[in-house]
Amino acid sequence: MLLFLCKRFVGLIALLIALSTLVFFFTRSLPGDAAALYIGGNAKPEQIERARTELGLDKPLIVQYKRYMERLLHADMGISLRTHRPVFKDLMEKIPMSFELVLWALFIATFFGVSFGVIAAYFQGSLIDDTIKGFTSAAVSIPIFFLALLLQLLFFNYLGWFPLQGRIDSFLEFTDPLQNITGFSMVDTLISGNFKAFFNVSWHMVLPVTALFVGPLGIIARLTRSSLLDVMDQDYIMAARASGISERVLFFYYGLRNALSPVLTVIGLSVALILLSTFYVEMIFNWPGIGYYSLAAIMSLDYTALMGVTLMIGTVYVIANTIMDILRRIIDPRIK
Amino acid sequence: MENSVINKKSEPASSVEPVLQVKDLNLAFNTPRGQAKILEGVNFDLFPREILALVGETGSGKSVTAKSILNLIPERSRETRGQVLFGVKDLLTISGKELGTIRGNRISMVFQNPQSSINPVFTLGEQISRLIRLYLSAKINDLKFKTQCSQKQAVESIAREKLNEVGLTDIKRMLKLYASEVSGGMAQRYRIALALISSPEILIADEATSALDVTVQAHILKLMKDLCKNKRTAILFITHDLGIAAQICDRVAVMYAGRIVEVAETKKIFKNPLHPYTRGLLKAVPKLGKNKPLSFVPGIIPDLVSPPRGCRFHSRCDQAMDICHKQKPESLKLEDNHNVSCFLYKE
Repeated sequence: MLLFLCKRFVGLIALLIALSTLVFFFTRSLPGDAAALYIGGNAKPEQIERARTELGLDKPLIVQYKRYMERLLHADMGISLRTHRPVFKDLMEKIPMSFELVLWALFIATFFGVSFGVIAAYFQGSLIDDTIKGFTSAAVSIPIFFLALLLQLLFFNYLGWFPLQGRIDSFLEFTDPLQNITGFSMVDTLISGNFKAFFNVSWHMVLPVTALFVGPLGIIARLTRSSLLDVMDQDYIMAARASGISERVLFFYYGLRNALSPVLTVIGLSVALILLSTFYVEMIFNWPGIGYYSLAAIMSLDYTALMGVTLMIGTVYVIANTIMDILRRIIDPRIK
Repeated sequence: MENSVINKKSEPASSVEPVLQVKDLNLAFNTPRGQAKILEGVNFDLFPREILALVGETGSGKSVTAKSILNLIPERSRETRGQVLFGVKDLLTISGKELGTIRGNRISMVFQNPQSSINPVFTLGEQISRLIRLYLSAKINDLKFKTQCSQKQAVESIAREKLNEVGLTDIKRMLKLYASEVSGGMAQRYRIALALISSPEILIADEATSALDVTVQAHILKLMKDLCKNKRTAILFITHDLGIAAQICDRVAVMYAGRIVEVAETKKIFKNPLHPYTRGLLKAVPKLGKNKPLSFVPGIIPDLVSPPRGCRFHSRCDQAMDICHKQKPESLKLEDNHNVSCFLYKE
């Protein structure tokens, strides 16, 4: 097990190095003059040249790459061309806001996805099964931006239950302002005892989180169901049944553990899906997170910020999948 | 149905009551092409302590018969008629709860592919411990009381004893292994140990040695035979290998296309096979030293969605008569408890 962990860790580092290299060369092949963008409009040629030297863009690409990698080791991702602040600082501010949505969505999708899958498989062929199957196939097929708009239309426009967009009601920003401690608004409001803001922030999160979890929930539920049904048809389940083990133990203990391995893989992939979806969802719900930030970076060709975002999302994805691999290894000894 | 008289009073001891009676068992699967009539009136008795072989070609319904006894075939898309009497209980109609008290406890089963019939993500130790806790709780308590050890130690020492019985060694290490880490022979010994934990009255061995190589096969056969003699367990031994049937079985039942066509004592059936199918099978056993081309039964098992009318074997039978096309043969009881379903022997 220890050996396995070490191997995974070395693999993880190698992947991250490869990822940052790819990101560097991809963004550098984008069109546009970074120095000109940095200095802004109406700049004199000598000003642009000075900015070029300042940013180190006059050096050969390979030297720039070396400098970039060295800086990365110190968590330095350069200066954003748009905000003129260190990219790392920008990211540290934006990441928690997005992760608050992502983590909730991931948790709900996993918990209810697995539960629904298990229930559907247990009552295979019944009305419950059909209902879950219907609901999950709809969940898998609906495009996320469309779902987000539908949610706004229904719950804001017609029912008025939830706010349309934003993180917090604007008047609360004056009366009970958010304190930035961890960056996770729900945690911050709780720590600072700001319950009014806590409920308001939670209220604002319901719709974006719903838009994020529905799709992955459908995928996870469907896979859990089919994986369980497949396992329950295996020889070893029949053999265990023949040796007098009760159906409940067979299903929830012997069966479920076998069925969970592919489900864990898909949960790892769902992390990517949800991260990607935050880009739309943050746009639609005007949520000031990483999605919003990257879109602005793309529009203004802010390549240092783009490199930061890509690298960060890639890192999260790789780490999430490593965790899933380790979990799979724990529940299924056949994985080597 | 028509042949309910098959070996009602059979030997070894005609006064002994059978432990298991399969009566007129019919089973059909609903397929897109129509109903496939897999079993059609299977009848046989299993007596205490005997080893009964159920032999036949692939697709003759041996395994389905075995699984039907413990009601292991998924209920969706199947239809079953008939009775499987265990004492006075019909295993096909009793509740799932009651069936649970019989499965594994009083009737055990060993399957064809040992590795795939062990759960791959739990250790061998975990799986045997569960069954020990399920069936031998009295023994565990006894041991705990006698040696003042913990529950876990007691279970482990019973596991060691049970695995020793089937000839496994280095058990401490083995209990930590997974199914994929042991050989086929070891896995099947382990499965047999599991099946015998509860000292069942009946052991159903469904092609239990077919997936093993011949030397291992011989060991396993001897093991099963010895253990069952000691524990007074009757065995229903399902195989396609007549050689194995001849080696360890007291009686042989020959199955063809969902019916039992002949039942007799092993010696008699090998010396004097009556049914044309049995004769064909015996001729098809290769013999060393004789340089003759290998004989076989011509044709294939009929399509069971639309089985032939009359005797299901008539299209492959070299002695078929007119009546064979029209009527189903009943089981005839001849001398020495030799039963055969064939019109050749009808007076």
